[in-house]
Amino acid sequence: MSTLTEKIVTVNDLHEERMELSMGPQHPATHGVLQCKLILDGEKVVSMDPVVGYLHRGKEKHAEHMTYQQFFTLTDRLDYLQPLGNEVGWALTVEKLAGIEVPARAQAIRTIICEFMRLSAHLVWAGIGGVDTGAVSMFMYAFRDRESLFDLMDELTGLRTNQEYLRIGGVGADLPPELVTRMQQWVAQLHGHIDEFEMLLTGNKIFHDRMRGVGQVSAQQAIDLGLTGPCLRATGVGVDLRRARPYLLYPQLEFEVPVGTRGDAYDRYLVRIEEMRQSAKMLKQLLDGLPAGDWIAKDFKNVLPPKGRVYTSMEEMIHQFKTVTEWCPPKGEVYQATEAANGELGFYVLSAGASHPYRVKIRSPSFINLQALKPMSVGSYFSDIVAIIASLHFIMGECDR
Amino acid sequence: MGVEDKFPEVVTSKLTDLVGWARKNSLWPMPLGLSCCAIEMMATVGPRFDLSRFGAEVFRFSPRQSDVMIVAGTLTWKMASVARRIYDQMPDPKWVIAMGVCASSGGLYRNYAVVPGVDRILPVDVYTMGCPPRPDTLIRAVMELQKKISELAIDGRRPREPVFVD
Amino acid sequence: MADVPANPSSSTSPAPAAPAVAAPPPPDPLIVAITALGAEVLPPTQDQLLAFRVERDEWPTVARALRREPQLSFEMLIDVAGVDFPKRQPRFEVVYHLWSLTWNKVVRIKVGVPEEDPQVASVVELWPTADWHEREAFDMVGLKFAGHPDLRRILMPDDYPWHPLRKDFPVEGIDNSISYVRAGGVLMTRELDVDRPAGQDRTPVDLSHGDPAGYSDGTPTLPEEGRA
Repeated sequence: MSTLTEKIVTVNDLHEERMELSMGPQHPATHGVLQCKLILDGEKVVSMDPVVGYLHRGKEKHAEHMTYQQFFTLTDRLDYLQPLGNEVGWALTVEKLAGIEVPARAQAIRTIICEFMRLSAHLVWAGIGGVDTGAVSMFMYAFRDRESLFDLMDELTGLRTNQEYLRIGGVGADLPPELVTRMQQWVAQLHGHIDEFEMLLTGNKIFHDRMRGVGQVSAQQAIDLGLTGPCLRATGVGVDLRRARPYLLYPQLEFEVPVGTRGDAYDRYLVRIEEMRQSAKMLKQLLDGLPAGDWIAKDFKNVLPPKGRVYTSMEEMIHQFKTVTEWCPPKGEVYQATEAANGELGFYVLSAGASHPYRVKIRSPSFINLQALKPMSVGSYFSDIVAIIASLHFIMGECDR
Repeated sequence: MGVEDKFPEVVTSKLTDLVGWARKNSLWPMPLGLSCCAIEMMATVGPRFDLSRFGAEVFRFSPRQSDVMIVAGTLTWKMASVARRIYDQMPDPKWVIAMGVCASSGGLYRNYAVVPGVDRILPVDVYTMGCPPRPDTLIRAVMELQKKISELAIDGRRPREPVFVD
Repeated sequence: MADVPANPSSSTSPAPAAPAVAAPPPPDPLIVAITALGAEVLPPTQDQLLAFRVERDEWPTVARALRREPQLSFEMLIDVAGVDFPKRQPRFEVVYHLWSLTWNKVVRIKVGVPEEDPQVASVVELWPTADWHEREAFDMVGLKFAGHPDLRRILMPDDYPWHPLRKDFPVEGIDNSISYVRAGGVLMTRELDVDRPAGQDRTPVDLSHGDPAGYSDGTPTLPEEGRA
């Protein structure tokens, strides 16, 4: 007689173990060196822990040992998709600290390059967002436009990227009229190219299925998490620093701030595409109405004189020497924020009256937006994490500083 | 007088040349894209510069399937053990291109967090200059590496002489 | 703003014999409300932001009021910065920047933290975004946030023994390969031709104007005229 008891084993009993997976820090989909420590139940994410710091380069520590003009090299490499945008933030902070007036033409050139940089960052986002969700040809379309943008930047500043073109008090070189014409032509054909991007992605059912409803946050959650930029505007909160705390020439420009409704990845995509169109609109207004004048302030006690004069005139050479080696802003502290491509990029500078800052704190939008990764991903599928990372679009250079 | 005269459809060569030719024209990179240089590396694969002309289009982020590791960006000490592990996972023969000044020497970061040159932990074959180097420079680095590979013995043993590209 | 207490100085008393003097502008209701919580107004700096100093013990109540009171309603915490003043008492300072979306105003709050007990109350329950901000302040400066659910390092490796943004930590670091060697890595020895420590890369003239390590009195002043 058999006294064996039978245990009926079902499929559910087999799937009891949770899997721990480390996604990153080297991973094609993590947009840089981000490590996501995941605990998965099959394909569902039970819990996750994003680990950052793999690109921490000690910029805030370096700032305490560099002059204010030297720090432009480090700000370039924060959000390296829009280097001049970061530089503008730093320049505005230092000029506010020292009370330096920047001439109108320099402000206009800075606004132009801010919008070019926003386009540059959004183009990379569009390309990589396509690649992450499977639309690889989007990458080629986006980088085609980016290459021609780099041609314009190369001619203006001398470098394709990480340009270090800004100076305290203005910009490094003037914007010649033939380059203005080429920029206007580039902007004019951009609308057609954005239509091509939309043709590839917006109505694409696969893209829609991968992004719609993925990584959804409510407006209150977004504010609580400190989200700024397109991630916040996709939830319905229409806050844009170019309108709320304006800087440069934005008060004079006509543009709309695109706002989403549902706060999911697809809305973040739509907000960024529309921001590209609005940037093109702003660039047309700026390039058509570029004021004449100086491209750098003529305040030679505080501002570097133009290089041509430095080599030929004794007075400018002495000013250059003294400004580079001895320039000290007054004591004080300033927090200045700009609307970077990812959100609110802020610089908090504490000056003790020395030639180098006492403390620089960089309020990095990617660092804060990355906090939203965990609440957005827990409970969704593993492949949704890739779509969420693509739609949040943080840059590890900015996140880790 | 030789085989090639008698049979025009036959090509003779040294085995080392043949293997070197195959290896250098199908370099599959393992992009260790860390920071800004990664974006220029993406531009190198992009439509204008098109690294696939050199056979190096297959950027498969798996080290098991790659030949050359392009360290593009700043290596921090926190990331260093990860980079070394990925290098160790690559099958032989393997090469390393240090793209940019951060990977070559630490770049403009001389501080507590940055490895002063990826050659502290990896053997580098080609160093490139630039911050970031233009895609043209990266293509030149790949071409210099191809030149190096064509001179190798079949088993990949060779004197490790790094090449500097600017 | 119905619950703001009336400020006695806003009423002007007529002085018939004196010449006409412009009445002082009414004080900002936000300043009034925040000082009523116990904060001390700081003189404005170059960015003209409202700035206050709050004692460490009062910070939890002030923070709750800033977040929850309808006439204040600072919904968003923008930034938390830890600053090290080694020559000052208290040694550390936490600088909060808060943004009220309702009133579109940014304020700066400074909380002093002594070195002997480097703790301050965490504001994670009020502003969940403070999670990573406070972890970074802990990592970089060594400030502990009481009530934080998961206070561990964020930018440096988990077992890194030092706090890099303290003024006594050198920019070139102390033992940099520590995390790599601990992870089981073996450093390849390669003699670099030029291996200068980072400190020698500074600009040649280091004019600190008498106070290189901190303010002597702790109060930032308005821009002084002329160059140093």
